[in-house]
Amino acid sequence: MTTHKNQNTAALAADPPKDDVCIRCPRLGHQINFSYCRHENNGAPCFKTLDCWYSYFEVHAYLKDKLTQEDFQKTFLEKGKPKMSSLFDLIEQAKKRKGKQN
Amino acid sequence: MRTKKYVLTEQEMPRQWYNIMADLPNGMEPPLHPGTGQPCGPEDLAPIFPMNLIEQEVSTQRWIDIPEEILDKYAIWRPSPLYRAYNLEKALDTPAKIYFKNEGVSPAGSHKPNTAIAQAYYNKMAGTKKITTETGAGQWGSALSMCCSFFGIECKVFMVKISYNQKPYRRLMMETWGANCTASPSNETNAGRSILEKDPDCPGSLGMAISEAVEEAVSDDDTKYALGSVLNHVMIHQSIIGLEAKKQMEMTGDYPDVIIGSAGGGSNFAGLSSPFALDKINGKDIDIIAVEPTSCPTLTRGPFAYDFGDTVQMTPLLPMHTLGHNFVPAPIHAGGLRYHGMAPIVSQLVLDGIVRAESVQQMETFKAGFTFARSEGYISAPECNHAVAVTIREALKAKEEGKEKTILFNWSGHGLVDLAAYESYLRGNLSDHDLPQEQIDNALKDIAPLPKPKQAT
Repeated sequence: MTTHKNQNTAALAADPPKDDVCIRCPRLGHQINFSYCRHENNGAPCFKTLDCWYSYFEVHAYLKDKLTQEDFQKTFLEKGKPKMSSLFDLIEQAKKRKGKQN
Repeated sequence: MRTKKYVLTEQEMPRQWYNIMADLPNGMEPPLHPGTGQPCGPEDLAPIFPMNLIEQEVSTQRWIDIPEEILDKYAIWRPSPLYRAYNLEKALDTPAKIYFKNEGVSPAGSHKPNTAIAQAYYNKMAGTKKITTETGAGQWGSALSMCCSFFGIECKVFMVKISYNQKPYRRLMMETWGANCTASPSNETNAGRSILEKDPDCPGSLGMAISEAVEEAVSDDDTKYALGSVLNHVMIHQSIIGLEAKKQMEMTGDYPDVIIGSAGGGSNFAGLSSPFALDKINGKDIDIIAVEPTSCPTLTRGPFAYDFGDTVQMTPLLPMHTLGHNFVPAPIHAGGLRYHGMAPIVSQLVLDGIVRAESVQQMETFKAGFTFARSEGYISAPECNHAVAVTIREALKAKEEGKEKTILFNWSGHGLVDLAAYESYLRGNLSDHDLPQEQIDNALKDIAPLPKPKQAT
């Protein structure tokens, strides 16, 4: 079996790895590169980006630098909605779109 | 010859699901409608779910009869076998007895059809002609596709475009079972078209796919939507796993000291553990562990973590485990349980102290997956490896302590369509990393001004 260095504490790279480096996305269930995570939410990062990439580069500092304070706050520091509330929202949005179409 | 598999007959399959909502010590807060701020009623969900499933969603009835038509379809692979993992025990040289429930034997390869069959059936009974859903890699989409085909319901799966392109085998499974698998964003909904107008090359996301699936359900009275995890009725349907396991554990003559399941959305974990959680509520001494990926330490250490603990649906875990401490030790904290994709029932069980959470770094999960595959033979789905990893931890702990513990875990699905993840591990492309404290301290400065919940004061 290939051996891996576990619990590495060496300094991390400051920039994201190239797109040929993929890690497993716990939400989608398959391999994904950082570029996808960085823009997953309508151009904003996926809310799990810090959790998933902190092992690979200084993702926190990188995104702090790239995002406005407001966007960083919105993506990573605000509470997510429970699933049921999200569904209610989606139902309302869909009804509005349907209304506009009619 | 010693018994390896504990198998129930079709006649011994449980005839009722268990609903732990009836036994939660502190009940659950109802979800609030974001528009009105009031507890939601059945009519709020009626545009996307049939009333018979909405009734289950809000039910506090302890036992719910499983219709004969569902049992008939369950019988294709259920009761699923319970295995004694002798070879894993030997590989670990542990005195622990390890059992696992094999949910990978379903035609779709995971536990997901346990609820997909029920949802397809209840929709059929309600007159639904078409069911929509979203999927990433396709484990849920393929399960629902198969089950819709059983009941003659049209199935439309909005598959995140990047997944659609990367996971052709799951897509082909869906199509083989007769589903319409559409890459999302698509031109078939207003939501999809609006995204594509702005970005024709958009790779999609789960959020976009859900929007499309819900819109299609809302737009047609004969179409409903189905979700494969998180919701209460899904947890109820999955209880068949634990109910069978209880009968099979009786056959072994053992009773589990430790119960383990991986917890993404919570359904396979709740499925195995909820019938045993009832025993714990009634006084049995069981350690029930929900396992999930480790989180970024900057999100889990220090006051930041305390900001996520005020409602059941969000993040009950941290205040429970951090009272009186200055920071959350990473191994104890489990990030996803404060994540809104977690089933509220699982969050409530943690809040009530019936379940505890452990997190595992990805290297440990893959290492565990290889150990399991090379001893028991089965190649686990990557999320399932989280449960395998903590099982190994517990077995090794038993060895250190010299205790003959009985461990039961849910082997929720095979990884035969997920081998790219194994390849990454084999090629050395994965890593774990502990952040230096200095880096964590710097990150924590960002969130120092945030309010702290009452539990942390």
